[in-house]
Amino acid sequence: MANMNTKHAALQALTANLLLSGDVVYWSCRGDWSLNIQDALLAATEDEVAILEARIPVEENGNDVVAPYLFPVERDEDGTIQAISQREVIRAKGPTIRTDLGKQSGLRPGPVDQAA
Amino acid sequence: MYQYDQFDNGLVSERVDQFRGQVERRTAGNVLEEEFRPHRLMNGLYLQLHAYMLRVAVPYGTLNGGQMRMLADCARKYDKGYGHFTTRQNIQFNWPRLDDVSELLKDLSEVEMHAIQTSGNCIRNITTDQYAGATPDEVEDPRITGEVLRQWSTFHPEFSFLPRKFKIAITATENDRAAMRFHDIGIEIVKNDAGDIGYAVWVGGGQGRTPVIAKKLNSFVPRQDLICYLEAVLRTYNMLGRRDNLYKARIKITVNETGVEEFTRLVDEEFAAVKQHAYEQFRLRDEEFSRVAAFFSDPAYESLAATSSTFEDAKAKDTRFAAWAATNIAPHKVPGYAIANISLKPAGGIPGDATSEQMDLVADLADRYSFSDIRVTHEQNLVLPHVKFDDLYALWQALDHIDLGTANLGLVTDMIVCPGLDYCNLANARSIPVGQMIDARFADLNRQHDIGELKVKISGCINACGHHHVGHIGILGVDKKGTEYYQITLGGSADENAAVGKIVGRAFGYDEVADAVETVVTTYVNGRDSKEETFLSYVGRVGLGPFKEALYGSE
Repeated sequence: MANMNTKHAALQALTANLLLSGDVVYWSCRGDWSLNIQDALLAATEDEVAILEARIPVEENGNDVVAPYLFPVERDEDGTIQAISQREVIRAKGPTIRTDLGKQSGLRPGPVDQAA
Repeated sequence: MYQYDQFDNGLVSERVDQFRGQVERRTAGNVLEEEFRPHRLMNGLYLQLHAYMLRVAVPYGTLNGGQMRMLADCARKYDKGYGHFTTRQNIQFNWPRLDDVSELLKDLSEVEMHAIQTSGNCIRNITTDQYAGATPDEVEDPRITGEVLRQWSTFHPEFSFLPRKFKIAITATENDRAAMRFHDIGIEIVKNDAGDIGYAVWVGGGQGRTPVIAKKLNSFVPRQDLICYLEAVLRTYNMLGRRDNLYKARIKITVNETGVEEFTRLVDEEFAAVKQHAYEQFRLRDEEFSRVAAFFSDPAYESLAATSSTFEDAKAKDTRFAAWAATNIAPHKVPGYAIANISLKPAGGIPGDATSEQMDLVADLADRYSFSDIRVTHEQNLVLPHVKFDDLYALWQALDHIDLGTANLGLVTDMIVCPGLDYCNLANARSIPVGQMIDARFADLNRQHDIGELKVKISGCINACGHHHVGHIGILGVDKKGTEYYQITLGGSADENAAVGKIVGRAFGYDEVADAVETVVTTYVNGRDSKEETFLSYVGRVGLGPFKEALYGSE
C-alpha cells in the first residue's frame, strides 16, 4: 500500500463507526480498526482502492462496525494524514463547537479494544 | 398531565424488552446491520457522525419535573452531561452507546417516556402550542386532542410504513405558535357559529427541499369525526404517496401532483367510507374525550390580584430582570399568573442544549413555581406555563444563576439552529458556529431589543431541520466543492401569516455570514418607518431590493 511522503489528493482510506460505542474508526495498516486516523491504511492505486473496497462487504457482514465507506484523504509533507472534506475533518476530531468532546478531547492511539 | 394506564405501561415496557433482545442479537452477530437498522430507527436511535443519537419523544412538548429530572439523569449516566431540545419538541442525546440504550429506555419508561416513533416513516411526535392550557386566547387546551391522537397513532398498524415520515401539529389560537401550516397535517381547533368545537384540517405543508404552505382541506370537522377524517387523509396518502422517489414521497408532493381539488374529493370519499364501515371503531366519543381532558384540568391556581407590587418593584430596581420580563413572559389566562419562557440561547451557547444541572434546576423550579409543568417549544426553548407574578423575580434569579435567564425571546439571538455538520450525518455545512457568530455580533442586548422581533433560523442542509424557509432571516448551509456556503432568504414566517422566505442572492462564505446578517439588519433598522414597523412588515413593504443593494451593490 501507499507510503507517500508528499501531498496526494487521490488517496483513499476506509472508515466506519464501531458497533457498540459508535466511535469513528479507520482500517489500519495492521489489518484492524483504529480510533486514530494516523493509523489509516491508505490506498493510492486502483488496485489498492479495490482491495480496500473489498473490505466493505466483509465488514458489513460482521458485527464490529457499522456503515463502512471509503473517503479521500491527503498526506501533509510531514506525513500527517488529513481528511479533505469538512465532514471527515469533523468526524476525525469532534464537534467544532465542543472541543471538549470527541477525539479531539483526548485521542486514544492504536487499535480498538472492543470491550471499551 | 396525562398519566399512563396499564395498557400504556405494558406497551412501553414490552417495547424496551423487545429492543433489548434486538440489540443482543445484533451484538452477538445473529442479525446484520441491514436487518437491525430499521429496528433501531423505530426506537429513535440514529447513527450520526461521531456516535449514536437517541431521540426521545416529549408528547406535545409537555414534561413534568420528574421527567425532566430523569432526562438530566440519563444525560449524566448514559451521555456526556447534556441534551439537545429539538424543533419537534423532543430531546436528543448525542453520545449514547448501543449497549446502554436499552437501560436508558428502561429508565425513561419509569417516568412514562419513550423513543417510539421518533424516527421512521410513521406518524411522529405530535406537536402543539407551548402555551397550551395557559394562554388566554385558546378555544380549548390542544393537548387533549394531542393525547387522543397520540393514542390513535402509536403503533397504528396501517400507518407504520407510510411513504415518508408524517408530522402533525395542533393549535387552538389564532396566533399560531406551532408552525401548523408547515406540517403534513395541521389541525386548528375552532368554534363554529353554533358554538360547537371542531377542527379545521390543513394538509400538505412542509419544509425540506420543497417548502409548501398547507392547504385547508376542511374548515370544520366535528369533534366526533376527527379520527375518521384523519384516517381518510392518511389512507389517501398511503395509497397515492410515491414510494419510488424519496424526495417526492411527502404528502405535500402527493397533494400537489394529485391537485388539491381531487385530493380533497378522494379524502371525502374515504371519509364517507370510514364513517359507513368503521364509525364505531373510530368515532371520538364524548366520554373518551372527557376522560382524556380530565388529565389536563387546571392546576390549583390561587386567587390573586392581576398586578403584583413584588414584580413591579423588582423590575424597577433590576434592569436586567426588567429586560427579561419585557421579552420572556407572556399573558396567562388566570389573574396574577404569567407564562415564563426560559431561553436556551445564552450568549455563546448552543441553541437548544441544556446540561444535566440546568435540567435539574428547571425541574426544581417547575416543582416550586409552576405546578411541576414544563413545556418544550419548537423554537428550542423551555416554558414554565403557570408562574405567579410574585414569583417571577425569584424564578429569574435562579435561572440567571445557571445561564438560563437570557432576555432574548423572539429577538435576533433567539435562533433555531439545527445540529448541522458538527453532529449530523446528513448535513452539508455547519450551523451552530454560524449561529454563534451571529450571536456574538448582536451580543448587545439593548441593540437586540431596539431591533425588535426578528427570527433567524439556520439549517445545515436542504432537509431544513433548522426551519430556514420560515425564518424572517433564513440561512441554509450548502456544500460547494467541499467548501461551506450559506444562502440567505428573507421574509419567511411560521406563524398564522405563513410565508416561505425568498432567496436574496448569491450565497456567502462561512466567514461572511455574520457580516451579511448584520447588513440585512442594518438595512431594516435604517429603513423602517418607526420601531413599530417589524422586520417582516418592512420586507413586505420594500421587497428584497434594498437588501440586495446593500448586500451586493452593483455586482
